[in-house]
Amino acid sequence: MATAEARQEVETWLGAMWFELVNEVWDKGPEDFDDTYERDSLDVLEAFLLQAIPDPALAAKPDYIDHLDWAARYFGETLVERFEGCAWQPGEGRYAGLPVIGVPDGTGLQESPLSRLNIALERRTGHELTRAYDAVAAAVPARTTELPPLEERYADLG
Amino acid sequence: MTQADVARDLDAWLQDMGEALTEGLRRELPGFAANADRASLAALETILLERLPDKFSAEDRDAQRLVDIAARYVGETLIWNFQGCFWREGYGTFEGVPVLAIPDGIFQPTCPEQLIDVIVRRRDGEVLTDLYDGVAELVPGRTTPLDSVEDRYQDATMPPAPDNAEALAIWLRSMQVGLEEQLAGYLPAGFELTYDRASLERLEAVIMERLEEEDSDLKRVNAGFIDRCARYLGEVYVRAGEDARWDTGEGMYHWYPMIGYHDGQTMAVSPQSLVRTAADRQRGTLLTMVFDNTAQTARARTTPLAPLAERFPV
Repeated sequence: MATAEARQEVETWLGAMWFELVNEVWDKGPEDFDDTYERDSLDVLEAFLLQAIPDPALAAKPDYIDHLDWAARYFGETLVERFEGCAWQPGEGRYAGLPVIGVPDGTGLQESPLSRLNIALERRTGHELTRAYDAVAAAVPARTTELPPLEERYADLG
Repeated sequence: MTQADVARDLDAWLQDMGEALTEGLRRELPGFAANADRASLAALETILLERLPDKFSAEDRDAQRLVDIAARYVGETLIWNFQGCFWREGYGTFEGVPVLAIPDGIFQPTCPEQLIDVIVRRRDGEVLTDLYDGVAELVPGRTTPLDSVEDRYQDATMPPAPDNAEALAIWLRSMQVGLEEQLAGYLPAGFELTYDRASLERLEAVIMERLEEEDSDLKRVNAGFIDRCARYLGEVYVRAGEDARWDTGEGMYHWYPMIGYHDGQTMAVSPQSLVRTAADRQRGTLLTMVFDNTAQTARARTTPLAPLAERFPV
């Protein structure tokens, strides 16, 4: 069980979601990015990161942290938007200290967007995000319950 | 925060064992000879290294069914071969995950799912046989027969995780056998178990020799050695200090049994951590140095201690 402190840290991070995703897309996302939160936009995002970060060892450098944080938010929100029951939560086990997506697929494996991005930078296949998306899609129904708009979704947090 | 309903249903997981190890095994590991023996674990690890090609593979969502089936097979192979092993809900770093309770007196639970991750990261092909050999060293082979997997688990519920105090109590039950029957087997002939400061330098020399190779403390075949040395070391503190007693770990040592003092001035000591640190530093003076530091504030023992069998009844 995540500690109250870990939960608070994730909530603080979530509180900036709308501002980050909507206002920072020009600085931190791909050029002319069509931020539809759909599957195919993930390949565009991954291609952008592979080009922007040529060496995975650079991912932790200050120049790239903002790009990765933005991309993690976008990938995570894509899962939240598209799949029923997916939601942000504090990471546990190997993902302790990270905001992750709880995926109700029965495996107990959280989806850590930041970790997935780092794997994508290591493997450089260009399709790691859509691969993870497809694996969630194979086990979790598409969202049918309506979500509040992004600007309201985490407004009471942070 | 919106909350995902992701808690695993471990009862359902257990009840699914029959299907998983028949249909699931055939589907995920076609051609694999599931003989529930040591050799099959080596074969399984070879297959996993082929199917999970890099150190990140255990995190691939589309590999989770394979990871789950492999983990179940590892656990059931140990249950099949060794007396007293069973699935239970994990604790510590394995909270909410199925782990295997093994009556080997090792404090940390064995989590087969985590072992798959170790396999793909270490990639030396020896993780599962190392586990099997480590368990075989301390746990008798199975003598009581088992029902089929389907019959055993069809209405089963997962035993809950122990809290820290219960986990410590379970571990303490192995104290007498660990120290009086097993420890000597790890030590050179003639090593006198005097439970005093003077023996710590000799103990440290043995630790440094056995764990000289880097990361050798991570091997399961060394887990019994590390644990029994830690028990001995802890008992040296208990026998020297009036307030010293085995206690649940705290803070960064929350997953280890500790020697606590609760006298307001003496810091708790983690014998397991000291054994590993002694191996890592290869100095030869660490155990006596820490013992002397502790003795500066701890009250010397004046009250006689009961024999192990009375203090730690099975």
